[in-house]
This record gives sequence, C-alpha cells and structure tokens, in this order.
Amino acid sequence: MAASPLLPKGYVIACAIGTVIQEMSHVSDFRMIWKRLIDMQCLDSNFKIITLSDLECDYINARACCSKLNKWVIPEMVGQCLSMMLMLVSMHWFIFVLNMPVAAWNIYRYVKIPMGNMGVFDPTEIHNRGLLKSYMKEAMIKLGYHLLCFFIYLYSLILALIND
Amino acid sequence: MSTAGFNSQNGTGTGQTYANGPSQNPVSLQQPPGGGYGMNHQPSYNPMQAKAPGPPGPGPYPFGQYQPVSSHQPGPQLSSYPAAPGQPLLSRPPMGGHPSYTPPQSASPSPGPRLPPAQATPLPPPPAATSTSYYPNPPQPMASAWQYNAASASSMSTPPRGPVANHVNPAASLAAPSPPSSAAYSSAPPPPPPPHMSHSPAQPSGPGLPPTSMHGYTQPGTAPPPMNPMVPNTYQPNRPAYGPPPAGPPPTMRPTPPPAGPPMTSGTPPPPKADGDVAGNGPQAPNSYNHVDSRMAPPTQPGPPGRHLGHYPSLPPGYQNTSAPPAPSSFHPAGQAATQPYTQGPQPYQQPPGGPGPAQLSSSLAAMSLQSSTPEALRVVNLLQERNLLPANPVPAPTPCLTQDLQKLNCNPEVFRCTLTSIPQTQSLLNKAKLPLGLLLHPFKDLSQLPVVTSSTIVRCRSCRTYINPFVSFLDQRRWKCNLCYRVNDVPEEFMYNPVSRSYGEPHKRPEVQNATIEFIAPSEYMLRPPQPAVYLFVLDVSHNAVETGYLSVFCQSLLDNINALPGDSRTKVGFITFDSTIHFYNLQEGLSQPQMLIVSDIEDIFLPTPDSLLVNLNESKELVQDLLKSLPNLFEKTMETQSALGSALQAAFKLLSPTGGRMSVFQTQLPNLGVGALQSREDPNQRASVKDVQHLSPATDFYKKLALDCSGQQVAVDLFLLSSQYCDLASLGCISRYSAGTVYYYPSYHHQHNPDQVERFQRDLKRYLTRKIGFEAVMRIRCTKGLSIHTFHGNFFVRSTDLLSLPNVNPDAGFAVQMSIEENLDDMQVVSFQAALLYTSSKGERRIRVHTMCLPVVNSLSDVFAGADVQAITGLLACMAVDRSVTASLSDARDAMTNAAIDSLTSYRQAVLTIQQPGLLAPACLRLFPLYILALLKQKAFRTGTSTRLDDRVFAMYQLKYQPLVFSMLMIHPALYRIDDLTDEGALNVNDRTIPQPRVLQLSVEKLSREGAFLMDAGIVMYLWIGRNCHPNFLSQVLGVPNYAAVPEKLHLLPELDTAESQRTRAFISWLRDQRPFFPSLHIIRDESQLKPHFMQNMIEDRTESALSYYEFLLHLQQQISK
Repeated sequence: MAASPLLPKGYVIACAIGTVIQEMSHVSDFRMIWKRLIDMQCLDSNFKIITLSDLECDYINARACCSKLNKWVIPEMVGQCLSMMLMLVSMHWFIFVLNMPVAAWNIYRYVKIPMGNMGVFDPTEIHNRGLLKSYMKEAMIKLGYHLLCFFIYLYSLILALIND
Repeated sequence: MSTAGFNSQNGTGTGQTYANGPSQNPVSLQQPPGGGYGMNHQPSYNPMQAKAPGPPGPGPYPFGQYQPVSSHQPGPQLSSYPAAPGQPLLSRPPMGGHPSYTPPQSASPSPGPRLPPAQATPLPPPPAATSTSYYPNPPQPMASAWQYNAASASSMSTPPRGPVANHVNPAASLAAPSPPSSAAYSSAPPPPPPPHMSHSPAQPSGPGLPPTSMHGYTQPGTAPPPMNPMVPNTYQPNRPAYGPPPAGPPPTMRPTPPPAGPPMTSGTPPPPKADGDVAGNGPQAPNSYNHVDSRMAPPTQPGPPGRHLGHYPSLPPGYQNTSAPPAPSSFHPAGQAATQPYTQGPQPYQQPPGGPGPAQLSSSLAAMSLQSSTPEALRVVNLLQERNLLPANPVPAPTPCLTQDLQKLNCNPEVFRCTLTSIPQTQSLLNKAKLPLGLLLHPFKDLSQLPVVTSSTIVRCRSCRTYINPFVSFLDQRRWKCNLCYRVNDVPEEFMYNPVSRSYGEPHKRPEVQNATIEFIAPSEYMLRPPQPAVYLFVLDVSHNAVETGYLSVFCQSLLDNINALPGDSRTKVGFITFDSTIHFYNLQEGLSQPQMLIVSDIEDIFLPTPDSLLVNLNESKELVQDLLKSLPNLFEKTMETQSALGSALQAAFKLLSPTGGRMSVFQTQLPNLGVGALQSREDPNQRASVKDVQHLSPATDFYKKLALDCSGQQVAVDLFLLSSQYCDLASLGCISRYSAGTVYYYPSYHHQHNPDQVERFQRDLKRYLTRKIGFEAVMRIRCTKGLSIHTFHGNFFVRSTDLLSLPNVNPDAGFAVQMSIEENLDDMQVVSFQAALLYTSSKGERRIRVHTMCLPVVNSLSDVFAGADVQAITGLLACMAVDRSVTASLSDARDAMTNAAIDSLTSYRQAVLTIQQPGLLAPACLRLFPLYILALLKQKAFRTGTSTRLDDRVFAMYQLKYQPLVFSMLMIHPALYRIDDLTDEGALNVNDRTIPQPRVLQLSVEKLSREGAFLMDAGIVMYLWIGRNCHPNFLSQVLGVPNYAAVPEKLHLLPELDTAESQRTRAFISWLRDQRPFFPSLHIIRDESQLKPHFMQNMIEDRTESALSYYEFLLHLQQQISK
C-alpha cells in the first residue's frame, strides 16, 4: 500500500532532474520544478512515516521495511543537495539556507553508517534502543519541514507567475 | 542443563500424579517427546505434511527432476571420485559404542548429578536465612557449617516430611523474618512466637554462635548448587500445587492486598514482632562485621580506621591517608544511630557491645510502635566499612514481594528474571531509581519437569493473544480477564473440564492456570507449513590450516559417536560440505556404494551440483555418512590449500538448506580470504594492551549479516565453531550466528597436540551440541502488561517485528535479555505480568509452544523499588547494554556508562531514600554487590583496557555476555573462588550417591589465597586450580598424585583418579561444577611460575592491577563522585 506513491515519485525525480538542467534560466519553470521536487520530498517523508508505522504495527517485517527505506536514502540525499545547489546557483539565499541543514543532516547520516550495517536503516538495529521511534520523529520533522518548503515555493511560484 | 532444583522435584512425585492422572490429557511430564508421546502424535501430523517422511532422494524437495542429471553430469567444474580408498563399504557394523540416546527433553551431555529429592526439598534454613541476615557471616564459618550440616544431614536421612510447610516459608519472603521457620529448622519444638525483645528461644548457643550465623549461612548454603541458587526458594513451592490443588483460594483472583502475618512478603513491612526481635538484639553484632579475626570477639566495637584499612592489603602505601576520611569508623556508631529510624534492620549488627544505647533503644521502640521496619534488602550497608559482602554461597535471586499464592505459582527465576522485582509505577520513578529495567530469559532451558498440554483449542486472550496463565483472574466460571490487556474473555467449553481432577466446572484448576511454565502441543493453526524435519548440515574447513589443527578427526569421531543421538525422527537429514579455496559437496544418496565428492571451484557464482542428494535422510544413508566421517580426516591430510572461501561455502550451505530450514554448523579455522565475504586482518597486536579505545569491535562487512538475515528468513540457523590461533575477525564472522540465532563457539589456539585442554573442551562441547535438544523454526514473543513496552533486545536472534523474535533454531543454552520502559503509568495495578511464548518445532516434528509467565508487584515508592532490585540481573543486563554501547559508540563510553550506572543508582539511593546523610558509601543491602560486579565487569575480558587482550577474545567475551543465561554470565563476570585443599564432607550435597563438598565462595582477592592451600577458581568456561607453594603435602599426594610441590607438572589439565577420599572429593566437586553448565570448562592446574598465572591473577577482581583500580579504590572513586 505504501508502494503507490513510490513510482510517481521516482518518475518525478527523473524528470525533475532532467528538466531542471534544461530550464535553469527560466525562473517560473524553475520554480515549478521546485515545487515538484518539494512535492516529491513531502511524499518521501510521507512514505517513510507510513513504512515506519507499518513496521511499528507489525504489518511488515524489519527486513522489508529497511530495504524499502534504504532504497530512498541516496535519492533523497541527492535530491536535497541538488536543490540546494540550484538555489545557490540561482542565488536564492534564503531558501538555500533553509535547505542546507537538512542536506547536511542527510549527508551526515549517510556517511556515519557503520561498516557492518546494511544502510542507514538496519533491520537488526531498528527495534533496539528506541531507534524506530527516533526515525519516526525524524520523519515527522522532515515532513513538517517539507510542508513548510512546499508553501514557500508555492507562494513564490505564484508570485513569479503573477510577475510574469 | 537441567538444574538440581528442578531435578529435585522429580522424586517428590507430586508431578507424577499430575502427569499420569489425566487420561484425556496425554501429558508427558518426563517422557521425552520421542517416547510414547511423540509416537502417538506422529501419525496425526503426517496427513498434514504430504511430503513429510520423504523418500530418500527427492524427499520433500520440489526439485526431484534434477535427479537424473546429478548422477552422471558433473559439469565442467565437477569432478567426482571415490571418497577414500579401502573403505569398507556397506559393511559397517552398527555403531557399537554410541551412548545411550539422550532424550532431547532433558538432553544433558552427562548423566549429571540429579539431586535426590531429599536434598533440595527440605529446606527449613532458607526462610531463617532470609529472615534476619542476608549476609554470610564470615566470623562463624565453622559454626554455620556445623549447623548447616546438621540440617542437611537430617534432611538426607529422612524424606521431606513437610515440604509444603517448608515451602511456604521460602516463598514467603526474602526479608520478612519468620520465627517459626527458624524454630523448625533448629528442630526444636515450635516455640511460641518469640517476644519482642527477647531473643529467639530456639537458640541454645551462646554469643559465639549467634543466631545470625545460622540465618546468614543457611540462605545461601542450602542444597542448591552454585548455579541454581534460587530454585528452592521459588520454584519448589510451585510443585506441591500439582498434586493437590492449593489449599488457598485459586490463584486466579487478582491479588488482593497481602494478608497480614507471616505469609506477607518482603517489600511490605514484616510482622512487627519479628523485627522487634531483630532490632532489639545485641548478640548479633559481630556478624556483618569484618572477617577472620572478629571471630573471637562477638560483640566487637568496630575497629579504628586503621584496622579497616588493614583489610585492604592491595592498597598502595599512600592510599591509606586518603581513605581514612571517607571511612571513618569512629563515626560509625553515631552514624548508625543517626540512621536508625530508617534502618532498624541493620542496627543490631553494628551496634557497640554495651547493649542498645538510648538512641537505639528509642529507635527500636519507635520501630515497634510504628509496627514497620525496613526490609532486609534495604538495610543500609556502608560499603567502605563492610568488607565481606560476598555470601558464602551463590547469591540467590530475590523473591518478588507477592502474596504467597501468586509467588507459589510464579515462574522460576532461572527461566525468567527481572532486574527489578518490584516494578516502579511510573517511568519517572524508574528514572529516579537509575536502575535498568529489563528481563532476562532462559526460555528453552532444559527442564526436568514440564507440564505438557494437548488440547484442540489453546485458550488465549482475544485481543492481545496472551496465553491463559496462572495470573489471570476468573470473573466467574465462564469468563476470565486477561492480566496483560485486561480484556474479559470467555472460557471455552472445553476448558471447563479439568483433566487433572477429571471434574467439570473448575477452569481455574486446569494445568494452564496452575503452572507458570507450561508447554502446549500446537494444533495446525500454528503452522505456516508442515513442521520441518530435523536437518543438520556441517560445513567444514579443510584448508591446510584446518588440517594442521587436527580438529577434523575429533569432529568426525564425535559425530560418529553421537550420530544416533542426534535429535530427530525418521525424517532427519544430514549433509556435509567441506571447503578450502573450492567447495566440496558430498553425494550421499542411498544406493551409492560410497560417498561421492563433488567439487565446485566456481566460488563466485556458487551452485549446487546435485541439489537432491546432498542432504540425505540419515537413517537411510547412515552407512554412507559413517563412511564419509571415517574417511574425511584422511582425505585432506596432504592438502596444501591455504585459502578459505568461507563466504561461498556459507552461500552454498544456505542454498542447500533454504528449502527446509535447519541447522548449519560451520567449522572455521582461519580468516576467510577468498571470494565473497573475504576479510582482512584488522587487529594491530601492538594495540592489544592499549588503554585507548579499542577499534574494530563492529563488523567489517555486512555480508555476514545479510546472509544471516537470509538464513533467518529461511529458518536456517548457523552455529560457528571458530578454532584458530590467529585473528579471525570474530566481530564480522560472528554476525552469521548472531542474527540467525546460532551460537558461537571459540577455541583459541586449538591444536590437537599442543592444546589438549582445548581438544577436550571441543569434544565435550560437541557432544553436548550434537545431542542437546533443539527446536526448529521458532519464534518467541515477549508480552508484557499494558503500559510496559520492550524497547531493546539482547541475544542471538533477529527481531522481526516489535515483539517477535525470529529464532530459526532455539537451543537450551541460549539466554535472552530485553530492556523495558514504562510507557503508561501503572497506577491502578498491583501486579504486572510478563509472558514469553516460544513456538517451535521439536526435533520430532511437533509444533510446540512453551509459555513462561512471571508476575511482579508494582510499587510506588523509591525505597520499594530499591528493595526489589536484583543485583545479578541488573549486572547481566548492564553487561548486555555495555556490549551494545561499545559496538555502537566506543569501549570507553561503555566503561563510563557502567561506572555511571553504579554512581547514579547509589546517588539516587542516597538522596532519595536515605533522609539522613552519613559519611561512607551507602548502599541498600540488596545492591551491596553492585559496585563489586561493576568493577568485575570493568575488569572482564570484554571491557578491560590496559591488559593485553586479543580482539577475538574480547569480541567472544562480548558475545558470551549477551548470549549466556545469567547464571553462566555471572560466573564469567565474577568468578567463584574456593579453597579446596581442606574439603570436608560437612555440609556436602549428596547427588546420585556422590558426596559433593560445598566449600564457601571466597572473595577474589590475593589476600584470600594462602601458600598453604590450593584454590579453585571457577570462571565459567575455564577453571584454574592454583597450588600454593607450601601446599600441604597431603593434598599434593592424595589429590594430585605428586610427592611435592616441585613435582607438579607444568601443564596439567586432569586430576588423576586416585583412590583417596581427598581425590574423590575434589574430583566430585569439580565434576559437579562442570555438570551444571552446558559447556565444558577446562581445568588448568597452575603453580606460581605457570604461564597461566597472570590469567588467574587477572580474575582477582578486588585487587589492584597496573591498569585498574582495586575494589577499595573503586569504592572511593564512587564515593567521590557521589558526594560531588
């Protein structure tokens, strides 16, 4: 059930990245893409929350859950960094700064994976030491952050459209 | 291992009646499943498993179509040739000397000492012991021994006359003094309850033998062997319940407030008269005080400070000055007086001899008038002053403060133990106590008596799926209320009939409701697939290195010897894979004239050459298997292949086992260095002794973890036998066992000639390993009362979902631990319950569920929380947590965390429970060993720094701490030291007509050693027998068989079997110790100049080493931190 948001999301990433590079200069389209990216990231957080709560409620087992989640760690990180870079290029400082901590956190999480672990989410650890809860919390915070971004981008998109 | 305590139940016969009584209930209490029971049921299973008793070839596997190919088409990489020339094929006589089939139910490798009933049952002493003094009373070892002996002698001669009566008392409490029981113990006619102030009339002896000596000694000194200290206290009372139903109200009611009087239990105030008795007494004064020399002067004034310090010979010279202020004994009486209102219990022990002073008097009067007193567990102990904290015999598990009815039914603490026997009501209270809350389990322990129930419906709560248990409450005949989620459920019609009494309408007397540990035969709803057969696959390293160690012949011989004792039924399958740089499979299909070896050299992309004839039915191909085992050691004798492709071999083995599941036993002797899963040496030998952080405790690759999870998913468990002299990266390799619920066995420097003790250990361990009970495709779920939640798990398994542990195999030697938190306040509850349910397939193909339920009281005051602390369980859990911490963070973090655990809990005790501050390091009596155990942990191989420790040894020690059941891990943390040159039969146990002397446990300090003696240190997997330089020649000649000290050989691992009383005693004692554990501790006899002496000395935990504090220094450190 959680898989449904997945495919469109992957698709969105692919076209977003493709189109972003083409239409970098075009501000309104650029923002449109932004919005899409953020949409995608909202979905990502959503997806994480759903998957984690599935695990909590015992609908899926830890292995399946973690492999699902780990699949999206790198795309998320790349997407976040990419958006940050684009903001830097287009000199949207405020949004750049807004993006930076999250991107940094994602990178940190990825780099800090212990050698023997199977990715950021490790099925053998996830039930220990309240990790599941902390992941849940993290996903919630990210969801909030992406929602915030969503509205900011939506606002600036509309602003840009009106100005055009 | 089955425990003496349980065994002792056998003789009483109470269980028997239950077992055989019900006709409708094919209960097999003592029958092995393979007996009549298993046979009865086999047919009923067969229909379900269409393919189950498969024909030899295709068997239950769906790939029979490959068969024709396999026989003649080996493929490019395959070569097949006769296994070994000159083997007598098909003419092997039936196995001659195979040992008698050990029933899996209580599969213990050795006949083992079974306690006769008379031993453990009549235990009048424990209640007495628990009543007044928790302490060993070192001043009166002889006296207590004498008394103890008298007690046990009488018990030996007569069958338990009133076990029930006696059991009532042990169950009663750890702390509540119960005068009647002590009277009964001293075999005087039951006196009237002693008056408040006078001393117990049943004490004829003078002050030299103060009553406490008896009390203090008997508790630990009763029949239970060191490993099973708690059995008689708690589990036994259980038993009488079998035969006649308990006299009292059925235990099904919600616990009402405990009835007043003697049955009242520990956390609650004991009866006033009893403690008045205690509080008012002077003559007990000397007991808790210092050791040897205080013996002659019963009412001693605590010595001057210097004298106390004198007991710490390991102190560096400059130390005494610093230590003086914190432990001023001159403060002592005043300090005691000051605390008296809070600690009525302890006062008498430390009072000056002049009788109670005004302060004491008033306080004892106050105590009487308040009719309450501090339970023994809360007696304040100044650790800096009291030196002899160690009880003479193993520390018993504390008894939860429950009503007697409930306690009688409660789970055996060896199976189920909680760090806090009184659960705090709220998380904040738990946080305040700073003690970890968790459970330690040993769910598949070999039990000699286990009620087994067959019924078509297993009664469970409809919402939380809890199994019905003794702690549920019956609202009326037809409804019961779950004790975990409080849902009201219906009692099914079938449950109304009680097969034990063959009566109708007494659901609360059903065995399910009478036993906290019970096993169900599961109906087919509990199967996802037909129960799997027992499948054993052996994966053997045959590289040059492996052949050098010579393990192969030992292994083959062991398997040959035990091949008929492998647990299983007619479907049992075995298979073999050997590997070096290539993988060798063995075609053992029935009908072949000899085993066929198939070599696969494509290790990158492993495949099975003949998928259906590699795992064969043991019965049908037994001769081929035996041929193979006989030829294997010779087959690779001349191999020069040094590489090891373990990863590929494991993958191949996984492929082979994945259709059925089963057990994979991997024997590895070197670092895998070829193909997938190859590892590099990460250990820098120069860093072994570094005090800096130890690196590489976590795995280097996730290959083994992933494979383990794959295995777990296919119900395959991997047991790893590591026999290597070099670094093998156990941290990485161990993952394969850890997450697939296997076991790691480690034999460092194994060599068939150089290390005979390791060889013997390996042999014994293998025997146990091959013949012990095994459960396949198991899952365990641990449930707890609503409000509590489990957040961390320790042990070897994979946590599949929040409370479900996936255990592809479960073995009787596996322990588990979990940590819990209190999510919702437990305000309106008096008790909480925990239930561990283990669903497994027995080796006979039966699906069974073993359910353990434990019930604990809820308390709302911090002092009660402390009173219920179980110091051993806390230590065990902390060790598990520290292992986690050292892997995820760092070793130094873990060490700090352990020290902080001690500091925090003692600080919290001091601040929140003690209202009047006094100098010294104060701890409640129940936690008095806590700092010692923490120090022991810091000096344990797993966590020590500064001492040269090989990385693999360290990692193995960590695995053991997490995996061993508590009784064994405690020995590894804090070894037991005995003086054995003067063993006597006094106080001895009598097991199977053997007399087992029971020397007292000594502190781990060099001060306890003497050159005139011989000392045995039992450190779990190893034992050291240290011979003093001036050891009595009698001992040398009678036990060691050598004329003098100089003639003691350098490397001696066996005690000669001499026909002398001393030799017999010593050997009986050592073998008794060994018999109690599932692994085989090797014995090293060491002299002063032996190479192993440093190992022996490193276990002297209380002494100072170059890199670690002595116990006293550690206490001072704690005190300093606490008073900050």
